[in-house]
Amino acid sequence: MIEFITKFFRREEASKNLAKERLRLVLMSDRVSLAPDIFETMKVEMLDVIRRYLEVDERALEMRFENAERQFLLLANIPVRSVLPLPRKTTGAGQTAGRNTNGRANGSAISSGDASPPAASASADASAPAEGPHPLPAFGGSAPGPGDDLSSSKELRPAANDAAGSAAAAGPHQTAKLPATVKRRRRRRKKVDAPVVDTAAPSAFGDVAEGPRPPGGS
Amino acid sequence: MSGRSFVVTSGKGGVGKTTTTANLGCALAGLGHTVVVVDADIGLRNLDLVLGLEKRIVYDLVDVAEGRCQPRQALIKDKRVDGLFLLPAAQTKDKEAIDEGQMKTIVRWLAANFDVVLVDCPAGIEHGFRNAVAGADEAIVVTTPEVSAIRDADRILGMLGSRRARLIVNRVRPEMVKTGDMLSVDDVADILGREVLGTVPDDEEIIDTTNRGEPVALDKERRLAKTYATMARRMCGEAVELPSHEDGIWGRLRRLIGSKA
Repeated sequence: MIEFITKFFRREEASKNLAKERLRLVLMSDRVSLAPDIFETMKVEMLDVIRRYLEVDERALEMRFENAERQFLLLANIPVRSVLPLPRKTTGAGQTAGRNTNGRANGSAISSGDASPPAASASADASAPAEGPHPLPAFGGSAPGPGDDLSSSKELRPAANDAAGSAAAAGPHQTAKLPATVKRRRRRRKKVDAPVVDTAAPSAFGDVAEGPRPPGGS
Repeated sequence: MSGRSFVVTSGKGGVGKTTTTANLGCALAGLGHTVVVVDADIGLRNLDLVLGLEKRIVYDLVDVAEGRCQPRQALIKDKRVDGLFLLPAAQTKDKEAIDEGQMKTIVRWLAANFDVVLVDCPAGIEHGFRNAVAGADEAIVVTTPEVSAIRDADRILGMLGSRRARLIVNRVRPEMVKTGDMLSVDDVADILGREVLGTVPDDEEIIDTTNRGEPVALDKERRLAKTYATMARRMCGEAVELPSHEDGIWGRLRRLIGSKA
């Protein structure tokens, strides 16, 4: 009787609600994990779309479900190598910004930046998350680049070859100053996670001058 | 084939599969059906003990599967109630002593000769589970209002294929459900998304009667006998309402207020 009264006046969350919420999440992930083939198909289809706009490092790609505080999340960690060039209205710089789906992906995008854009793009890269979606005009039908080859073969494997191929295709305007720029960008990004201000561009150029292969030998 | 075959399963161990099988068997026989309860838990046989028939075993499931005896010879007739038979499990160490094909054949034969076949499934999702499920047309998934049991029930439900599966929510404590400290039967049904065949309150009677080897469903005077009888009727397709377990003065008062409001 006393127990009933104390329970009645106790206002903490009933454990039943906690149990319900926890079960809801765990069962969702259990049920998803029961169908690995469906998950794989979804992954491939999502990649097909992403590849139309971005060149991603598919070998380092991670996609999984996770139970967060009160949500069941699909977490995608997709290292971006570059944005595929637009079929029209190209200005050169700012094209190859590494846009990402979320903050996490940002970090790995840099670490896998071997096929990186030229120095000028560093600023665009850094400020991209703040700008929001890159204004991508609709592609007239198919996107240039490796996306289409891959989507037909429904496989994640051939990433390496295609990535190399598209790197060449994506940056015809790139110069030979790559190594220094890449190094500089890596260092910078490790320190600063938030969008970097525009001063990144001049300093990146300055860096190139100090690099191991100074352009023009100054 | 006239009879219906059910597998009583849960995934998690210790939720009351064997007790439920024994009592449903008794309740079904009490309604006038001919029933065979099959213990598919090879190596860990217990249904005989719960039913109080452990001293009468001569042949077992593996003997039938391997043709050492006729199926009828292995069946033990319960003398307390008409129409109840047990096909006991073997106590061999070899859990793989029987395969899905053999199990299917045995259950089909039993279903052809009896009204209802209840297969008591071992815990887990391995070989023993696949065997127990092999011959069954329908499933009864026993769970308790605990997170671990519900999770395992969900996994099991995913492995039952297209079989009709209904839930028995076991060991419900109405007073805890009232205070919000235990998931209610509706919560469990909602989470698992299946029809509830019945609920059994957590009751000392079960322990007492199991100790004696006299399933509670045999004694019509017992509180729980009615609970199992209701489930048995629902198994047979009768549209019987689930009894409410909101006993005691508070529950009655609450219902009274609830009905007037």
